[in-house]
Amino acid sequence: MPAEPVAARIETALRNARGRLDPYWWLVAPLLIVTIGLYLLPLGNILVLSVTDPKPGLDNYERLVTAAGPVKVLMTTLRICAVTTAISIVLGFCVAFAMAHAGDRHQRILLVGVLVPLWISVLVRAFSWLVLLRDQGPVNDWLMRGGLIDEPLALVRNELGVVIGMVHYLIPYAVLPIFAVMRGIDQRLLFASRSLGAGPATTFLKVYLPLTLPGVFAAMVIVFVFGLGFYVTPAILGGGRVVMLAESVSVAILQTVRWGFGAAQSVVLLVLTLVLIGIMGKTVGLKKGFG
Amino acid sequence: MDQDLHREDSLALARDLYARGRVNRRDFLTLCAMLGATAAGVGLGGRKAQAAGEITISNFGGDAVKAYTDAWTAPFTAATGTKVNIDGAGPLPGNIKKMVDEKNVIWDVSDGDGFYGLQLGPDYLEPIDYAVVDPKGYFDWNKFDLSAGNYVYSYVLAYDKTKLPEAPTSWADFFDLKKFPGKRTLWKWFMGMPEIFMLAAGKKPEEVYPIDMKLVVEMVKSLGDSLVLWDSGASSQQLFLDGEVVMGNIWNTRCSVLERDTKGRVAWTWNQQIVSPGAWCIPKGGKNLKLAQDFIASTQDPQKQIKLLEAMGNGPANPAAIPLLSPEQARLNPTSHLDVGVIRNEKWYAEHYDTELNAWLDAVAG
Repeated sequence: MPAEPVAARIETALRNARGRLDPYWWLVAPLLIVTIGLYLLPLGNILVLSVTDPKPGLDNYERLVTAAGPVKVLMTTLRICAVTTAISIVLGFCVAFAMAHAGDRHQRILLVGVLVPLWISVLVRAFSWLVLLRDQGPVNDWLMRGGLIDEPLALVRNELGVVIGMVHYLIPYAVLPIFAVMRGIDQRLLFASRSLGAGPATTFLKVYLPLTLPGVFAAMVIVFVFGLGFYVTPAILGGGRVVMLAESVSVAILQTVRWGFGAAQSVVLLVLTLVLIGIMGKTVGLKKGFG
Repeated sequence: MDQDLHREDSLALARDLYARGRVNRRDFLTLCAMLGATAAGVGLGGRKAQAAGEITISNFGGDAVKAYTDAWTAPFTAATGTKVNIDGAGPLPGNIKKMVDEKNVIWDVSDGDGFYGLQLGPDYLEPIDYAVVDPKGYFDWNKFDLSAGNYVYSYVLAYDKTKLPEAPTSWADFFDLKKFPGKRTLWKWFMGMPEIFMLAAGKKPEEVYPIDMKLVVEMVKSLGDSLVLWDSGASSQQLFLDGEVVMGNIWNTRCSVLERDTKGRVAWTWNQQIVSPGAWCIPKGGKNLKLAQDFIASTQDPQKQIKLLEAMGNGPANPAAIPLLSPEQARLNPTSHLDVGVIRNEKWYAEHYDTELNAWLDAVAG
């Protein structure tokens, strides 16, 4: 009877599989189901939409790379994200360094200083910057009264304004991963370097900095990816003259009712994000980067 | 959904019992209250009850919710017993498309622009029933198959008297950076803007359409850093209040508020106004089609439209209202100054909005 051994084999296989299945997976299962149901399925829908609306084919993608407007939107988005990321990382590195080397009390104060802005809505922050930076705002007013400038500087309603607003929003996301890595650095390595004759600068550049790089890379990817999806800040601080990808998607969905085109732009956004995370996974390893 | 059906059924049952004398009036009313209905809603109001029920209309929110309530929805409820909810979420065409595609139509009647009907088409909107809605209650340019006028607004040249050597009088002045230096503002979302470029370039009102986008792009770039964009009525108002701009192409509804709030510092001219038809439309698949048509018909009443003019500065969509206006109302009303205006061409927008909006956004991002 050949059926017997087959059944037995299946049963063994099942038992093995069950054995190998970590019971902790059951704790993750609800989230997985929700993710698949509420996230992956609509995502699939967007993919389909991008090649079927208004008619089947790659027209939407063709328009994305050939028409002047969409190409410029993509370029603006990448440019602003790159600049924002660079500034956020440099400033974030300094803050993280201060935090990692301050005493307990100062460290806590700094941490609160970094975290509190995260609770203020992005809309409120954008409007606050607009009020501060506009021609008649306190910053220009102060500079003019101080005799430093004769005409108000164009600080807002342009790319500069967008970058200022985005950097302010994104710095905490740069600080935290860098700080986490810095805190994990074994101080004895620095002592070893000093005792072997390296000066403070050499120790920093050859020992400390390389050890922080996983955190820096992680911060770069997080900040850049977040930046790609920014909508409110560019819309308000750009004064309508800076259009980024997310806003362009919104225009296509809500105003011009070109859902296929909006979907294609969303797909580009998604692919960019995945590629960046992939690059990070390959170069520094996701594990290291996220502590 | 099931619960709604159940409630309706329970009410029907209670009404039936009451009619047959099985329950007394007080018990019946208690029952109705428990089921969350008013007496008017379940058949004690006589003829009114025939139209009873509940509908939801959409608009763009803010002060408009109260103004619509005073002018339109409260009187409709008083006359018919139908409760009207106002959803101020902002009825952009994409929102309507989404509702209809998902077969989850919440808005029985939607506010919007005249061109929605042409843009969304019969797959997404119900035709206006001109047997219910009086076809004579409109101008010939704010009556469409799939949408019907509710008010008229316009884009006008507003300016700050204290910042200019003299009052600008036409769109040519708007583009004259030498004679009128300073920042000027235009609407980010393009509608009602390209017309002024054509007028400034010397075209006659009847030659404004079709819009020459090449010319528009060239001219908007010539404004350079003098151009500021507004993206909501509130932001256009703020730019003038803060003195950040010397002039701009903004909505007439904001101009009258600005004139009042600045004690006359900000003024506007009706000359070359771009007259734009706001319009109701009925998303396809709503469950209260008859009530929707009735509601639209009820909003044609000149007195109600004048009330909206008083509250918000939106001009009457019904020509019959114009002779009824006081001189002060007429001063603020766009439809009292049609002789010097250009009517926005909804057909052009329906056909070109998607491509040209992108061209515009690209140009202003210059």
